[in-house]
Amino acid sequence: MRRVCILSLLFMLIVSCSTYPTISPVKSLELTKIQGKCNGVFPIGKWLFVHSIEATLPGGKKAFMMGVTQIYPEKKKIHCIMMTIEGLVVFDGLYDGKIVINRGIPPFASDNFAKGMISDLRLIFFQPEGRHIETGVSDTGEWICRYQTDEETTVDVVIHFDNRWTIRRYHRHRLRRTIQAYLSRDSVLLYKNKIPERLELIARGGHGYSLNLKLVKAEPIAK
Amino acid sequence: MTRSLSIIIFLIASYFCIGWADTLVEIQSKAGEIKSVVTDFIQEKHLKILSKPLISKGTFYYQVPQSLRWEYTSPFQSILLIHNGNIKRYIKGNDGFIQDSGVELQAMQVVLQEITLWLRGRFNDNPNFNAVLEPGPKIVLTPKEKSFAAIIQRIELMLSNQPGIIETVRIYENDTSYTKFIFNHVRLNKPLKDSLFQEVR
Repeated sequence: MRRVCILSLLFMLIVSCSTYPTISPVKSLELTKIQGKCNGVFPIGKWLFVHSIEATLPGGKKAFMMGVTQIYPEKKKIHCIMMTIEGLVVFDGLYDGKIVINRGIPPFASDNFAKGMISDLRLIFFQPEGRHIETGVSDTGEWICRYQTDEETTVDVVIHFDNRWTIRRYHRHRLRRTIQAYLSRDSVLLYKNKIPERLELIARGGHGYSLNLKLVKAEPIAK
Repeated sequence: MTRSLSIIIFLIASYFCIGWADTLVEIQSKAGEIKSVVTDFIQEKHLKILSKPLISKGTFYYQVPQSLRWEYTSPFQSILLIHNGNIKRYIKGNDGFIQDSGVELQAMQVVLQEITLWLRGRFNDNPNFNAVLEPGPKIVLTPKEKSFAAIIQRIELMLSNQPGIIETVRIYENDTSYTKFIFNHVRLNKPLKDSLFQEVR
């Protein structure tokens, strides 16, 4: 009996991890409201963010860094600098259509590292590119906007009702990235924009990892 | 005439500034009297993309020959310990201190190795750097290898008028990216327990 329970649980876990949730349609008035909320999770205008980053690497090892990120949503441009707590810059990379590594110290110097990081940052800060294919309500009541970013990739933006939102990226119907954003009343008042005070990113797959980003500073870029 | 006068004024000023530190050998000799250092520090991270530097604060403990406790108190708590050649770092999270895996510390090895040499006044001991004493008194360390200069362009140490004390350290990655450490409330030769360099507490 116990074995059956464990097998059932495993089956449910596999199913829940490998397919994306169904979306129930809503009335057109509500549709506009949900789409507005989904668009609202992505920063408007140019911003500079400073985060403390706690990375959990394969095998459970931890690494702590500081991240400075400049985002230009209209141009889809990102400049990212990562440094040790003691201030040594280990990575400086720019994305402006293509990735340019200005500085990289091993193990942060590889193209794969840069590609992965820029991809994660784009998922966090930029509205998904591609077609907006569905909007509605999940089985558990959250609002969802679904985007088809390429033939095999789908991104869901999920709005919860407790100052939280989730971004999920699926590849071939398998969940690959989850970003959980936590908004505080203080950060809304301070930055007059929906800037999450904490972000959690979970990357699934062979070399899975997780990142916990705490906001140290957010600053609109004037020029 | 004006140029000659400027040179004379510069030389006189340099003489008074150098004071206890006429040569690197003399500095090493004076630093040899130091058994321990406890100092508060302010770290300023300067980057071209930042309008203002990022500020961190903490306390730094050193004991001869190579024990170090580099403790940050803001904007978050972090403790780096070096003792008997072992390097460990801990960060305070919601559930207390968590040990760092050290992935990013690989890049820090060079700097950490340097710090314990500086505190003993042995600026010439690292085969990777050339050390030059300049008026100020200031010691400028430049990498010998080009590949190394891609990581750290140069390091500038401003010495205090008090023998053995470093006032500021600037570590340049390039002309626009550097880290400045300002040391204040320096206490020399205070007895320190070994456990300070082994335990987080």
